[in-house]
Parts: sequence; C-alpha cells; structure tokens
Amino acid sequence: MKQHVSALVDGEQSVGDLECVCSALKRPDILSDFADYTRIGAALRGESRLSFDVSAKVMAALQREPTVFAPQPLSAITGEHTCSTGRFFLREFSALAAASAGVVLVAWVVLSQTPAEPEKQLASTVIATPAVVPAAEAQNTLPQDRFQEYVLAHQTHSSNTALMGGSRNVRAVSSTQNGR
Amino acid sequence: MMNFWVVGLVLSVLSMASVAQSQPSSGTAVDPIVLLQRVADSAISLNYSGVFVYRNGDIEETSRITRARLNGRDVERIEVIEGSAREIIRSGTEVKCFLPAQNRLVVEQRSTASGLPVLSPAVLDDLQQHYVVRTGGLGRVAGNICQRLILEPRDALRYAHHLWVEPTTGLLLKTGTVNQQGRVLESFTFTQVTFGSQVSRQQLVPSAELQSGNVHRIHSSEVRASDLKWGIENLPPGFRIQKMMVRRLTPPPSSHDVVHIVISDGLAAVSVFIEPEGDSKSNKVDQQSGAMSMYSRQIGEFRALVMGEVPLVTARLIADSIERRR
Repeated sequence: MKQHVSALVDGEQSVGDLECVCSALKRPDILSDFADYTRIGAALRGESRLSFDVSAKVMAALQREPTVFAPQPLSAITGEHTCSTGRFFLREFSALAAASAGVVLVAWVVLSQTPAEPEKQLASTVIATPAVVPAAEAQNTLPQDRFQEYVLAHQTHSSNTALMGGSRNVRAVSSTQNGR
Repeated sequence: MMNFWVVGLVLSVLSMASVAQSQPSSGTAVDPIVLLQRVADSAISLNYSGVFVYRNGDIEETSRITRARLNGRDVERIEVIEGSAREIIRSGTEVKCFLPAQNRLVVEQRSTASGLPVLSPAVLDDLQQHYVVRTGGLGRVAGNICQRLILEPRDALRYAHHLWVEPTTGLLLKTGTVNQQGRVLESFTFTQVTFGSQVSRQQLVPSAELQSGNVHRIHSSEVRASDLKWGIENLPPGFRIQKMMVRRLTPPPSSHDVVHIVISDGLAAVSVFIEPEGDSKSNKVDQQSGAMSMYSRQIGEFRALVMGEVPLVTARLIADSIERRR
C-alpha cells in the first residue's frame, strides 16, 4: 500500500486504484505515510514555502461551511458508487487531506489524477462525473433580439412546453436577457 | 360567448372524469407515471388562469397566465406584471411576443398545429430509461394540496425536475429544475390559480400595445432530414431528433434561412439553430443562464447555436454531433 501512496503523491497513481488508496488513507499509519511522502516530495522540489501546517486553517474553513440540505445524490438512487470519479470522492479525500499535516498540495494531486477530458468520458459513460461550468466563465455575445427570437422559437417548438405548461414561454421575455 | 363556456365546461368535465378514473383509491400509493401522464394531458386540455413567479438565478419576476380553448383553438396569454409590460400570446399556430423596451413585436407562425405532442406510452418508456420517476410528499402551493413528483436523471447529461402537481386537474403549480449539486437553477411557482369555468375570456384579449411595434414576422415550416444539408449523428444517450424546420424572416433583412432542429430526451428540450455566419462574425457563445445552456460552434462558414434546458456539457456534445453533409 505504501507504494500506492507514494505513487499517489508523485501523481503516478492510476485512476482505477484511487478509490482503494482513498479508503486506505483512513488508517492512521497510511495517513502518516502520506503526510511524510508529501513533505519529502515538497522538500525534494525545494518548495519550502509549502512546508507550514495549514490543517488548522483548513479545518476551521470547513467548519464555517454551511450545511447543504441537497436532494439525494444520484449515486444513492442508482446504486452506482461514484467514489472513484465523482464528487463524493473529492469531498471525502479533501476531508482526509485537511486532517493531515502540510497537505495543501493534496487537492492538486487529486485533481491531476482526474480525467482531463470530462466531456469524452460523459459521451461513453452513462453515469458520469458532472461538469460544473462556473457562471463567471460564461460568455454571451448573442445579440439580445436574436436571443429572444431564438428562445421564443425554442419554447414554441419544444415538447417540454406540453408537459411543463405554457408558463415556460415567459423565458423568452425574461428580464434576464431583456435588460430592463 | 356561450360557446366558450360550453367548451370550457365540457373540457373540465372530461378532465375531471379522466382524473377520477386514474385517481388511486384512498390509502393507495400514487403511480408517478400515471400522474406524469395526467400532467401532460392537462397541459393541453385544461382551462386555467393564474399568477406565477418565475425565478432564474437571482432574477425573479411575476407574470399572469391565462389558457383556454376558444373557437376550436388553444389560446394562451402571458403578461409580465413587473417591470416593462412584456406579453406573449399563443393562438393556434401563431405566437406573438411584444417587447416594449425595444418596441418590437415578434410574430412566429408555425406551418402545423402539432406543436404540443402528448406524452405517449413510448415516450414515457424512454423517459424512464434516463430518469428515475418517483413521488415525493404532499405540499401546498397557491392554496392547493399538491403531490410532489421527482424526476431524477440517471446520468449527468440532464437536470432533475421537481414537480408539484394539483392531483385533481393535473396542473403543475410549481416546478424546480435542479442540477447535480442540488442547486435549484430555475423555478416556476403559482401564487394564485383558478380552473375551468372561472377563467374569463376577457383575460385572453391582447393589450393594445400588442397590436403595435416594429413587427418581425417569422414563418417556420417542417422539412424532412433529406431536404437539409445537415445531419446530427451520435447524439448523447437518450436524445433524439423530434423535428426539423426552416425559419424564414419576413421581410428578410438578409437572404438566408435558419435551420431549426428540435432535440429531446422526452423531457429536456434542446434547439439547434444553424445559419450562415455572414459578414459580421460574432464571438463564440458558451453560456449558462439558470437552467438554459447555450453553446455555439463554427462549422465552415456556418454557425450552429445549441440552446436548451440541459447542462452545458450536453449542449457541447450536441454541438459536436452536427455535421455538414456533402
């Protein structure tokens, strides 16, 4: 298992074994090894500025996080365990990471292990990791009149208008795009 | 006037009879599929009027909606009662949309009246391959006890839909579109509603403003796939082409038509608009606003814009599946 942990720290761990390594990190001895390897790696790379312990600050930040009463996760409904690729994995891993010393790099290690092209994965997998697109990154250069015309056409011809009711037509004139 | 009341009454009675037939007896679990079918039926048969709040991200607006069948035609009027007085009237195959801020009246004319397909058993079957349909608890919306219906997606290519259904009429009184993080992206909530014979014909009369403005008239007609030089292959799982149309603007500001392809998984709807890029090349569109995603892709001298109530990743996958035929 130490080899797997070492591989994880070095960014060489295969995605398929991530879940297994993640589970093993619950053991104090493995977690200690993980912290040691992280420090060794940081020292070898001369990253002295990362050698301080930020776990207290991270834990405090987690405490301040609001409790989210969200609908049941997809995995609970489908019975599909998404630990290896999904949000659950990241959340659990982050909590473990915060509990160990000097592990600010962990998030980056984990991220580097996730598939780089989520869209391709979605195309071939029925249950897939959600792709979160921050609104701040969004751009819209469609002229307003063209946008409204297209939304109106979309709503007029969409079958979901039949199921969801005509009130959806209001999207075409919503102030979101109307710029009132 | 008499015809209106008679038609309204007959439709209400038929609706009630159908509900009574499928209504589970007391103490029996509600079949979510039966309830979903009832929702689809009521959306095209029920006369109703009400006030609803539309919420999209931080934006919230209140509108009034009235829907009835008049002289053999479905008529629906929505007026936004906050901010500028925007208004939409759908009457049979014609939709008018008045935008006072731009003094613009968009008139969309369909060539066929079959714009509102009912959920068929086949569609319902397909739907369940991509959504888990289940009932939730009871809730109160606009003074009515509603049955909650939840459609959870089986993958990350679509959103969850939470519906609050008034069980005797099947009318949706509240809906929420929810992403995988559990965030409500968009919602419609009735705050007041009346059904059947209480709906006044007067409420369907368009405002004087709707008769004015700079008129942009658009005619769309359905075409066959073989008529188009565009194909869509390898759509995301569950999505199918529903119809293909050509849109024509009159009077034409330019000489090109716009191809409009409607795609759906039975619940989520996506439109693809393909048109020549023209001289004024615009930047790429890659946007998510509430539940609506928009993504554009340049294909030679054409631009394809994908728009729909799906995650942005799904819009991208659909855009990538568009091909120009030789």
